[in-house]
Amino acid sequence: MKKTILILTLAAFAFAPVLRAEGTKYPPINPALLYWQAAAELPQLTEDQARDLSEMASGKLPFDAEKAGQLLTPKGSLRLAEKAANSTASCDWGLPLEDGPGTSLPHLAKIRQLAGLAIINAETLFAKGKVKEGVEWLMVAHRIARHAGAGDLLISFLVQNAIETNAVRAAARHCLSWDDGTRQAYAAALQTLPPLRTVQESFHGEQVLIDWVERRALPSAQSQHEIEELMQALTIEKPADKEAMIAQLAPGALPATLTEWRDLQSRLEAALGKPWAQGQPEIKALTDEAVHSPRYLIRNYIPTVTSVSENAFILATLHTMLQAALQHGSQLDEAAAGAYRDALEGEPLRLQKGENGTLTLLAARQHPVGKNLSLQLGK
Amino acid sequence: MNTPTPDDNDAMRDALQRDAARVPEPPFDATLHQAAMRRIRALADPAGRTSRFLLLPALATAAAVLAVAALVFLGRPHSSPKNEVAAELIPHPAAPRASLLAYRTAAGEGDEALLAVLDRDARDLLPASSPVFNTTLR
Repeated sequence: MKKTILILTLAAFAFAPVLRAEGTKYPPINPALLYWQAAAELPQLTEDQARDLSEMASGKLPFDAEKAGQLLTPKGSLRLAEKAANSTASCDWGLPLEDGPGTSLPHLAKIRQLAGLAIINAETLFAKGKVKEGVEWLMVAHRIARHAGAGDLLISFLVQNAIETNAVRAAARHCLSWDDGTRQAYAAALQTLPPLRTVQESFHGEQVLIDWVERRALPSAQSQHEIEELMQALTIEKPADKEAMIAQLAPGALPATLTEWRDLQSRLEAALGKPWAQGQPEIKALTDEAVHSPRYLIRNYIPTVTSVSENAFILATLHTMLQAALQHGSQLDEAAAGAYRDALEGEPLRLQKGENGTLTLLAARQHPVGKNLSLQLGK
Repeated sequence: MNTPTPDDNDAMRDALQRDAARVPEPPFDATLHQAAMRRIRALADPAGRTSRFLLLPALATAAAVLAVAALVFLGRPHSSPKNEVAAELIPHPAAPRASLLAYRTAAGEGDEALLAVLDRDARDLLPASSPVFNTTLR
């Protein structure tokens, strides 16, 4: 054993300069640039194909090898997406945040499509019995999710969570048929991934809108034309709204509005970092405060975060459920499931056995309202 | 039927017409024409007709001034209630596609609405880069 370790260590030292030279010659590329190249090579989908892609990736539509085969041709886009996902460089989308409400986010739609293709590629490989390769492509989807969240905006956060949810559900559909080693390796690989962006971090990025209004609504910049542009950018159309907005722009009113807006947004940001039971009542109270604010900008432009916050806890619960499935595999029983708790109320998970051999992990309460929070294991 | 016989007058007229055709004709000068006509009419009727010819342009000018004033008044921007209503009815353009505000608005309707908008944008944002999808799936 000692001899083996010694040989491996010496080999590592021997190859290190070569690897360093390779790294210098081809430094890691900003993944965002590679994703855009992958997007440029994406095929133009028909409406039906786009729906198939979206629904097969989310598991709403059963996997169809023939349709998948057509979606996955050509492979150039996937190759670049894989390269992007595995890049060690930090992901910088170069978002023009100074544009405030007009900030362009076209990458989100495309990266979601690329993640869908990665999951369908994994499904194709699983269908061919290539488990190891399929697992690698699920990891690609997990990595894409993290890069999607790199915009530090709530919308980026929602797209990140949508992709991650699809990847978790895809892993859950297959993990009962994996051997112990594969399940453990998957669980370990998940632990080594960079953390997902939190809802709190993403909400912090939403300050760009306040900064933009502050810049655009400075008294020195208030010509009739500029005010009209401001209203158009904020899609203010109704005469009553226009009047309210003009009142907000009065030199005396604007600083007070901006101060109150920033303050309320900071308190919301703090509440979003708290556990569900503690944070949820605060978030609801603060949202009510915003909705009933006499100030037009606060009333209309503080994003509603109640459901976004719930979304974060739902995904955390799905991770816990997958963790339970990876830990126990097909041996998972009610007692083992009960040892895991949801991320919302902290209540034990329940297990339901289906007639077709599937297992379903359930949270005790419905989230969101009217929907079971569950993860189906097996197909 | 009698055949006309040429005489000396005819020969002279033809010669004058040929000479006249060789002289370049100056462009029509309306001012000169009107001045000449006025002088001819004044010579014919020095009393009543002069005042009538002076009155008509004055009336025409007054009518034109009134018409211009009316047009300016009706066409003045922001002065007509009709224009104000029209301005209200013309909607401002919605938030630009794939913008932060467009997605925020969609997200306000729920996650499903946001994902639907993203799906639409994924289809539309880049032109076709591969011919392989020209045929639809069966």
